[in-house]
Amino acid sequence: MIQLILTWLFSIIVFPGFFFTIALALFTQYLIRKWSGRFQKRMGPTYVGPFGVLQPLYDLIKLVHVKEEVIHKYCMPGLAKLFGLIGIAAAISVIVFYPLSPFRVICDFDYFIFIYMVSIWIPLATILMSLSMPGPYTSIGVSRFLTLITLVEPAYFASLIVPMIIISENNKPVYSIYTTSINVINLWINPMTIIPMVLALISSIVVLQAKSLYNPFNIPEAEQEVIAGYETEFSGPVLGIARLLHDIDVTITALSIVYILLGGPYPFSHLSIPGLVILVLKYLAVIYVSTLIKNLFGRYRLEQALYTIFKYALIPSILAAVFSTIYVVAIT
Amino acid sequence: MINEIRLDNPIQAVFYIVINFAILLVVLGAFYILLKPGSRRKTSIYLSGEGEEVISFKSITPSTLNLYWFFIKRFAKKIYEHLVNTIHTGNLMDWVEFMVSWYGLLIIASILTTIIYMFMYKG
Repeated sequence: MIQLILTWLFSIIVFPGFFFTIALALFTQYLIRKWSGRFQKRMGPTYVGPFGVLQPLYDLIKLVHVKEEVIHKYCMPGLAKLFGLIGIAAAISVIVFYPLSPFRVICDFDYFIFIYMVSIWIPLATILMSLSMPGPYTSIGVSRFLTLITLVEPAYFASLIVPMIIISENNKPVYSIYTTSINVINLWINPMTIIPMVLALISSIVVLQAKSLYNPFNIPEAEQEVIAGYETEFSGPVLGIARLLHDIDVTITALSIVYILLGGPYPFSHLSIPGLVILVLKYLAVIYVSTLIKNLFGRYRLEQALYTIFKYALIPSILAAVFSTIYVVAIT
Repeated sequence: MINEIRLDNPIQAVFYIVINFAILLVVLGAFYILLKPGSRRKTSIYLSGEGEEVISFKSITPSTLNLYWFFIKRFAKKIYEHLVNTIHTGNLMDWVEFMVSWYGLLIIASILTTIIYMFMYKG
C-alpha cells in the first residue's frame, strides 16, 4: 500500500507529472524557437545552457521571480495567477492516463475525463486569467480566443475519439486512452481503417496548431491589430504563468496525438530502446510539423482561420468518426 | 515498478484525478511562493496612449454576447446568410430543390443504415 502511494506521488510530482511535464514543455518551447530560428536564418536560443537549451527555463524564472508586475486599478493579479495555476494543475493531473506513467489509471470512458480536464479547464483558465487583468484589447483577444476554441475543441475531441470507436468494439476497457494507445498501431496497417486514421491525424495536426495559437492561427494575440490580445495586460509572474500554461497545453496536446493516434512506443515497450526511440521520434515529428506550419504560413484573418479549422479539422474529424462507426457496424 | 489501477467505474477515476489536481495545486502554489515575485508597479490602463477618460468600466468588462461577437456576427452570420440566399431567393423551385436534396440525402443515409443493420449487424 505504501509502495502504491509512493509510486502515485512519484508519478504526479516527478515523472511524468510536475517536473517532467514542465521540463518537456520548456524543452518543446526551446525546440520550436530553435527550429523557427533556423527556418528564418537566425541562431535561435544560444546563450543559456548547452546550445541555449536552458533559455526557456531562464525566461520563466526571470518572469516569475525578477520582473516587475505592472498592474492598473482594475487588475486582480492574485486571481489571475490562481487561475493560471489551476489550468496547469488540470493539464498535468491527467498525465496518469498516459501509458508513460508508472502509476496508470485505466477505466471505461477515461478519455472523457481527460477531455474535460484538458479541453475545458485549460482554455477556461486562460480566459479567466485574461479577464482578471481586463482592458479593451484584452476583451477583443478573449473574444477571438473563445471564437477559435468553439471550433477547435470539438474537432480535438472528434479526432481523438476515432481510434477509440473502433478499438472499443473488441477491447476492454472501452474509450480508454491506455487501451487505445496499445492497440492503435493495428489500425494503421488495416486498409479499411487507415482512411479514418489519416483524416483524424490531419485534423489533429490542424487542431494542435490552432490550440497552440501558432501561425496561421495566432489571431487572439495578433500584435498589430489587438496589441497582444488576451495577454495585453499580462506582465511579470502572470505572463510567466500564462506562457507556462500555454507550453504545457502544447505538450499535452502533442502527447495525446503521439499516444492516442500514433500509438506511442508500441509495438515495443516504454522500457526498451526501440520503444523509447520510436516514442521520441514520433513526438519530435509532431512538434517539427507544427513548427514547419508555423513558419510557412502568415497569420489568417479570423474568418479565414475559422473556415480553415472548419474545413480541415472539424469536417475531417467528424467524417473520420462516421467512417469508423460504419466500419464497426459492418464488422460486428 | 509499474502500478496499474484498473477501475470498474469512471467515477473512481474522477476521484484519482481530483486528488492529483489538489496535490499539483499545492505543489505549484508552494513553488510560486518559494520563487517570491519581484516588485509591483501600478500604472494606468494601456490604451495606445489615450487617457482613461475614453473608456468606462463597462467597456473593459465585456458582456457574454461581446465575447462571442466574432463567432455570432462573422462566422454564424455567413452561414445564416448562405442559407437565406440559397432558400429564400423568391423562387419557390429553389426552396423545393434545397429541401429535396437534403431530404434525399437523409433518406439515402437511412436506407444504407437499415441495410447495414439488417444484413450485417443482425447477421
